[in-house]
Amino acid sequence: MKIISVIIKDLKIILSDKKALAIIILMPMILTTILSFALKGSFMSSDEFNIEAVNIAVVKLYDENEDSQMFDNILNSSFFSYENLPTDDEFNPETIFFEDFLNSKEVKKIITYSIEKESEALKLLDNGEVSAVVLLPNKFIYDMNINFLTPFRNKVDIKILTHPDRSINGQIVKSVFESYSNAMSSSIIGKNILIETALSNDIGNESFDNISDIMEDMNNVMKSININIDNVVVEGRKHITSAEYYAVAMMTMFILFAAGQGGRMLLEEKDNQTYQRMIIAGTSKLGLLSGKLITIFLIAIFQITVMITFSHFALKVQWGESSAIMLISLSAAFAVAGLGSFIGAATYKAGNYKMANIFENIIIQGMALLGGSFFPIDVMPEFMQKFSFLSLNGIALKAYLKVVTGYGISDVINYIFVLVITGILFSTLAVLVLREKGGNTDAQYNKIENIKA
Amino acid sequence: MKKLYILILSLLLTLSFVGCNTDSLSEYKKAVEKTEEVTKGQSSGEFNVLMEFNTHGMSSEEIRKLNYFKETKGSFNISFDDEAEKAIFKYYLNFGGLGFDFDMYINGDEIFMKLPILGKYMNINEVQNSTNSEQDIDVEQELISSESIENITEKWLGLMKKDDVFKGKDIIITTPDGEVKTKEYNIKLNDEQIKTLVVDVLDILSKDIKLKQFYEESIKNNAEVLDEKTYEEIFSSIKENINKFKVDSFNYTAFVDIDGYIINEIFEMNLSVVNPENEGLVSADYKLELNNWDLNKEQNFNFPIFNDDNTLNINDMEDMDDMESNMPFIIEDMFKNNN
Repeated sequence: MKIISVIIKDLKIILSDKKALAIIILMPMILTTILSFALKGSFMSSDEFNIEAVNIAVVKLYDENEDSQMFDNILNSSFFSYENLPTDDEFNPETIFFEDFLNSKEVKKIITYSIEKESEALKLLDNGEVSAVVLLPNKFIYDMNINFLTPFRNKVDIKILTHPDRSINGQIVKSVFESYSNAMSSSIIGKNILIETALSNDIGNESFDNISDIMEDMNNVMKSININIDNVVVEGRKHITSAEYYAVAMMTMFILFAAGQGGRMLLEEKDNQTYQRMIIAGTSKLGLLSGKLITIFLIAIFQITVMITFSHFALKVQWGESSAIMLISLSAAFAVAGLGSFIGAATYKAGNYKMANIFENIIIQGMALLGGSFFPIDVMPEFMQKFSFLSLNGIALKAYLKVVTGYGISDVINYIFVLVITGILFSTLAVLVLREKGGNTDAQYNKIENIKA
Repeated sequence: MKKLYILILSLLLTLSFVGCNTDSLSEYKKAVEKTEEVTKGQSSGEFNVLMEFNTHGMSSEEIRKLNYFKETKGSFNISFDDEAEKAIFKYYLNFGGLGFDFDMYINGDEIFMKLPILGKYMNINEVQNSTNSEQDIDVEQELISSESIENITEKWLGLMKKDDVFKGKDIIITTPDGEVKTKEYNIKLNDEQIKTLVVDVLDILSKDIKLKQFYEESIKNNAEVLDEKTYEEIFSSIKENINKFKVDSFNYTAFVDIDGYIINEIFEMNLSVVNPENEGLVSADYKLELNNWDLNKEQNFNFPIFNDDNTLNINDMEDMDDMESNMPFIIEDMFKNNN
């Protein structure tokens, strides 16, 4: 009964503190809303991806007639002795690049282009009217003809200039052109294998009769270029939205502030001389500590309940299997309560609020960063990712996100186990710290001193 | 008293630093020597030769044909382990507007070459032994003897004076090993120095038995156009013509890492013909960039599995005439057309 009285008293104190309430309840709601809208683009799947097409300028640094003439001359030289090559109508690198590739249905959704002179294209790039300039090199037509119609391999370096202020658009353009490059390479490799096989079987000239067939397949190759800017999604699992990510991230970060609040309680009791009164009234130290632990646990549960309710109704976050969410919430709240009671015991032992201040101002921020509450840990340097296991909120975040994406209890049981063990460990440490000689005797037999925080 | 000691000590230290003027040339020489001692690692490079011709009085057809040879490009990638006698060379060459790849595989005594276009492997030892069955030839990996390479390095280092080598700033360069902090050394040589070096190198090479052997067996026998010239005649004709050219600029930059190895080198040279109206060639610009990494680290060699299906044997080589009739081009024609 005494413990329940302690819990009710503490809850009343915390819930009447507007500043504390703003930090633990209002702040996560505000931040989740802002971040989920601000970073929506970073979490979009291709189904939702509906941005305006990226404008690019294409520069031809080659002379088509000169290139064709040069290729004809090479064919008529004594290097070659075959006559069954496709005509310009059957194979035209320019048609493949502009019509089959840039004007294909898939690419058109993402890229719009205009053909410009080099100086004009660079001006447009400087002015930000285009996001990238694609430079088709000198001898482009000639080199492509050599690559596709002869046994030789000429390197073709297509340069892409991007605007530093439009790095995302630049990346999109580069990815699209990589697809083109891969399609070209696979066709050239196919042609080389055909020629090598034919030559090794002494049917060299006859192999060139089939070059036309290979060129016919080029259209199919170009059509098969699939521009995919989606993340890989496991079948049966849904994609994480920004609202889902930040609802979980902010919630797991701000429940740590409940531990921070709890970390001050014991010393505040002592400063307010209520601690001594309770000890004299017969409340054990362990009872007091248990009261603080349950208070922090209830505050964390309250925070979680508010955040889940708010994000579900206001931001349309689907939390997944409710039993799994409930188990994770209980274990996360217990882990936080254990941590809070340990901070409380250590603060009490130190006799000042330094420990609680360090926890609130430094440790929580560090845990939030390492755990992925600010941004997904995948984007952090590899060495930092290795330390994410040190973050209590990081463990809870991973567990919640798994359930949000469609996993069940069995898939997150390890995380739940780690959270419970963490809670037990910190609670035990809190008891050990308070048990050390000094605390009890001070309260029961020493003269009360008035200590100001 | 203590203060006086400190004052004297700092004065001595200052004087010792003043006397220690860094000698860029000796630092660079040390780096060259250390890099020469590397026994395993990887190298890659790219080169480009751009030539300008005097087209006065030529027909448009002749000009067009000449334009094919205006630019020669190439690149290579080498993994090597001298102690294990293993190496893989991957070359790309673009000459006369046509590019092709060819690879070399060295595994102890075995030397295989992947032929361009054909895509088949050729056992170099087998071919050389069959074409020189009457002679007892000890086929070794080296095209140029290690003594010659040492002598050339010595000539190169002996050519420079202290004032020719400039130590630049520290630069971080990106290599396959990651971001590496390097010291930049820049060398500028004049026309006279370069010509002296070329003459010295030609002298060394003309006396190289291994290179001569390779020329006699592999090049002269297979290129009719060179049939009339002896090995020594080729070098002496180059020497004779050397003064027809002038070195407009020669720039060499080396980047040395913290361990003292040269990990990146850039050569740039511009030549021009002294009397262009009498010559076809007016000028030539040469650029070569080399990269070294993985130095003295264990190398993984993935050698192809050579079998009857993918390797030309002696009988195939004898049937080469039949093969040529089925090939879309004949390499020999290239030599004929270009000369």
